[in-house]
Amino acid sequence: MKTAVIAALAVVIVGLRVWRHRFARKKLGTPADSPDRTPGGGRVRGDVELIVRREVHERVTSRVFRIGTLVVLIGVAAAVVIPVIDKGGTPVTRVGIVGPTTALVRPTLAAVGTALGVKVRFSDEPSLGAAKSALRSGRIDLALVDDRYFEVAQGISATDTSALTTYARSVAHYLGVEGTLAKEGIPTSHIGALTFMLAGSAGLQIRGLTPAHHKSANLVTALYVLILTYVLLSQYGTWLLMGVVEEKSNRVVEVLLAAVSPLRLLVGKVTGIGLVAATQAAAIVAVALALGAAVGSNLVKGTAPVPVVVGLVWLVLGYAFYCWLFAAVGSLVERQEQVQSVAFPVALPMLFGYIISFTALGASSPSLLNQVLAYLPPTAPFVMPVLFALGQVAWWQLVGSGLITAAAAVGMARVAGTIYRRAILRTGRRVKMSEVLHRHAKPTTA
Amino acid sequence: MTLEFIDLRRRYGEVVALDHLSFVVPPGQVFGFLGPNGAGKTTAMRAVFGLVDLDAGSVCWDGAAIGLAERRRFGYMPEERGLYPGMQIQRQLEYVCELHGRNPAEASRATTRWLERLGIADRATDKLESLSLGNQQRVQLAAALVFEPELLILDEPFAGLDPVGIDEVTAILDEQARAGRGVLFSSHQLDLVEDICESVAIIDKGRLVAEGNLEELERQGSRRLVVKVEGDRDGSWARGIDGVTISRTEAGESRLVLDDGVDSQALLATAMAAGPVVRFDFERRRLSEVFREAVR
Repeated sequence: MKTAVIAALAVVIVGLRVWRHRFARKKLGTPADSPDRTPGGGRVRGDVELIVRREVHERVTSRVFRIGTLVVLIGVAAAVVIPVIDKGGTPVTRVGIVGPTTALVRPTLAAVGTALGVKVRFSDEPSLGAAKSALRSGRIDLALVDDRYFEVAQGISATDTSALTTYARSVAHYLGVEGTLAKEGIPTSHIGALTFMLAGSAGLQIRGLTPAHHKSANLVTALYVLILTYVLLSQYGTWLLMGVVEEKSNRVVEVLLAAVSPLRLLVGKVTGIGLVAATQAAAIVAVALALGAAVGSNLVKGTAPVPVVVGLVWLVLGYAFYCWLFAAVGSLVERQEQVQSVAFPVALPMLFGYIISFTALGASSPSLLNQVLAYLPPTAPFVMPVLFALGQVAWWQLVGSGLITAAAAVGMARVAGTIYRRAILRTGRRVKMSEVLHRHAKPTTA
Repeated sequence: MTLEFIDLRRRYGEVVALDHLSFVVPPGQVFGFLGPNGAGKTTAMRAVFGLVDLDAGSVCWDGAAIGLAERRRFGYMPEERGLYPGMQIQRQLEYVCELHGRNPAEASRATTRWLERLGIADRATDKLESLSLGNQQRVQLAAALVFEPELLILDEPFAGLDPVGIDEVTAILDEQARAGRGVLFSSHQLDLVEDICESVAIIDKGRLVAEGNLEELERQGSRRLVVKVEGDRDGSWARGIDGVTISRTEAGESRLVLDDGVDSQALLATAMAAGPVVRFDFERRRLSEVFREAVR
């Protein structure tokens, strides 16, 4: 995790330096040798920097943005807090005891619960069958059978970090160590120190009445990440599209292109909106994690924050891929009523990736379709973070897919730049994609 | 420094927008760019800013092809305008000014100065869309002027302005020209053009049909006489004289068009023979007449 953060920071710093170097505009007139300062105070800002600043300022100060961000933050806060409130303060784990137990078992189960902030209640179950029935009905959460193993309603997956699972794993391990010490005749007073020494030793088995089904905190996290990725990508794409259409329909673009090249205008717009988007998304994640920590949500327990951060990275990658597409198709039209017709083909793969990711949420292993879609740039921003959150892909697969999407974003930027340059000044009617992609297409008005 | 349109050609399918168009806009004067609707004025102006991909020809500034660095020193006011409706006026003008190479402090000072000059300083923090059309037009003009351009290209700058606004813009254009800057603007208001321009270019179907100093253009062509003979109502004394055409009679005044060979002194003698001559003036052509003849 630390390595990933350091790598991400390094990429951002290098990217900013390259950006400053490439886009710091030379002063007018004698571009090569003029200083970056003019009399009267202040640095002459680069054109891309100016466009970025305008985009950021206009978005951030708009009422729509502020209200929209507030609504999303309230939604996220509710999604984090309500499940915790719903549990009603300290979570209670009901443990059914089947068969004879040693005198230490109940105090041990209670002590582990106290350590984990879980209140433990016991019930004696007359038989294994009765315990299983109680598990199925939800009357108990966990059954200890003959001091030999635990039974739970549903099997526990490796990535499951819910409160019950954490408790079950802890007591299973603790009782396993205790049993080992008892066998060796070591006094139980040493168990505290020895438990850590025996951290790798096997605990009691935890059996599930039904197989593990990724019914875990990460599943909920994956669901949130998926929904947020789709909602935010759609929103940011719409901002870009409408921004390009606005500039074209108001002919602002003619005034701007008198002073700035089309590619720089496009890069500035995409970067500006991208910065706002990244900041908004980071704020959402920060609020979610901070609130999660404050109320003791499963979102911040164990490895749960990792899928959230990975989701944020994929949101950025998704934006990097889709932003060019939205900007390019925006340059084809100049009236609001034409927007839908060009937005739909771009929104379709997003919708497909979003819907198909739900099938991954319900499966114990990824389908072939999901495995393929996790590597295709249009769908990877939705499918890959879900598979990762569910523990169905490894780090290298995540990174590989990310690199493919990043490379595709670069290619998309080139194509979008060509479309934008050729279409943005064609006014009077909707421009067909075939017209601007034609080899001899001219960047002129119709 | 002069702006040169050199043999511009551009077709849109069957429509010829520019047809070997060439003319020069000299510095330090207000230059009118005239032509009927669809003549190619806007296309030619857009070509200065690289907004039109020409089939052939070029636009030069000071003898060299125009690039982005030169364009940043030109002010442009497009016909369909071009500012953000929802953006604050002050920020908008500062943004344009900085895009044209001024630093933030300069941009702020220049914006304040122009807003005051145009009488809209009290609306500086308002959004453009909240202003009247006339004031929006003023802001658009300010956007073309705020970075002190070397050349002004204005497409229909007087459209939509009230008489006070027209006077303001006229004064500003005159001031810019006196400061040595080139000012090229298009308009259909020929009387206005006649009042403020030193030179004009008239195009029709993308082709240059007349160009030059306005006074010279108005002197060109057949001589025109206004003659009033007491007691004559319809210029009957001039009828039948070889080489003389009566173009109009109004309130006893006859407007005559003379062929090259007509002796004006002999004509005066003929008029005096018809009665006391109370007016005998040579008259220049109006720009509207020059225009109509050119695009006929």
